[in-house]
Amino acid sequence: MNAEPKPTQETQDDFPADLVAYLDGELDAEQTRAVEERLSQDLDFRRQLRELQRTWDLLDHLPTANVDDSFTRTTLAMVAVSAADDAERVAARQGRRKRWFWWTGMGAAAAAFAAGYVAVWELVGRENRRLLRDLPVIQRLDQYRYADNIEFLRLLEREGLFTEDETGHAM
Amino acid sequence: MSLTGTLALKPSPYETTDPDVRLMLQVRDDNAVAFEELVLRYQARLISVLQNLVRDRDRAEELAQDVFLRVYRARKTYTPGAKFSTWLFTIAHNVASNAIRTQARRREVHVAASGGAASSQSLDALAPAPSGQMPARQLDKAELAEVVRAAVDSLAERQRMAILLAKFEHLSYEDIAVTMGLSVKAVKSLLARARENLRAILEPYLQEGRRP
Repeated sequence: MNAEPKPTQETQDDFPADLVAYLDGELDAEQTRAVEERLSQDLDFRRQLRELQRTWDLLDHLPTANVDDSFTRTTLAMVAVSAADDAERVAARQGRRKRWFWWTGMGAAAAAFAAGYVAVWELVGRENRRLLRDLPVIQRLDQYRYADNIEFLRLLEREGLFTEDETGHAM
Repeated sequence: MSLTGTLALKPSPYETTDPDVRLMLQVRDDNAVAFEELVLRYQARLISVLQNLVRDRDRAEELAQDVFLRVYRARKTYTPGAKFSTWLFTIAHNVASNAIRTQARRREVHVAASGGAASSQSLDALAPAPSGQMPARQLDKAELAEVVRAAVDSLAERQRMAILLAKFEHLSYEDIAVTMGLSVKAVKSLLARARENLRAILEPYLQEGRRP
């Protein structure tokens, strides 16, 4: 260890706090020794110590509580009521969560059913719409067989041969 | 500082050294008898500290019940990160601080509503004339208790709390620091100022009978 440090301004300022900490048994060995050394030399410091100790002892005159059984009973009853309330709240929350899962499940099933229905309807509808569009061609398929190539048919289409009038006949 | 924060991987040292921690762990497992035992062990100590903090016995009992209720409600998340008493008085400190703040706000509103005519509770107003007797006089116990109480009441709330925890609960500076959310150095300074204030108030009474 180094030689004993000279008291600095800081350590001097700490002395009142150190004196209280000394009384409270909160100083380490070195700090304790420093306080005791000063106590042995400083009359005023010793007086401070005595006065601090004396006023500390006076705190024994502060009121301390005598608690009767009724306080214990009411405290335990209050906690029991609170615990019952908590249990009720937990049960209610679990019930709400169950209902939420049920309704969410039902909603998801309904949504899946609706999506499937729309998909099937779309698929079947698309085929029907294609047949409907091609109906004039289908109706005259036998006649079109005589055409040699597709370019000839396209030419006929441009000239409005495949467009039907209001009576359903080719124009 | 959170006392119930992280889950410990191995048993806390407080489990082996503090029987009240073991009781609280039983409370965590919904053991009602263990909770009753804790209430019995701490109710008087808790009410004593709270009574000296809020200066009202009925209010102190209400606050103590609130503290026990909070302990019970916190049981499921309890992990022993300190002595049980330190944890309990941390809760008590929070509860009391809130109550004192609320009380102070109410008083402010009351004073404002009455046009500032309400009298303050200063020590000067409470103090009757000095008895004039000298140091050797026989101190009347009731009077002494009243004077000591007035002296403690005159301390700032934090000084009062630190003094009460040190005097009645014999908490170390470290435990007081945890309880009040301060550093150990701050507690040392707080207690030094508090005890110096008490000395300055009470010594004239002891020496010359001058009431604070």
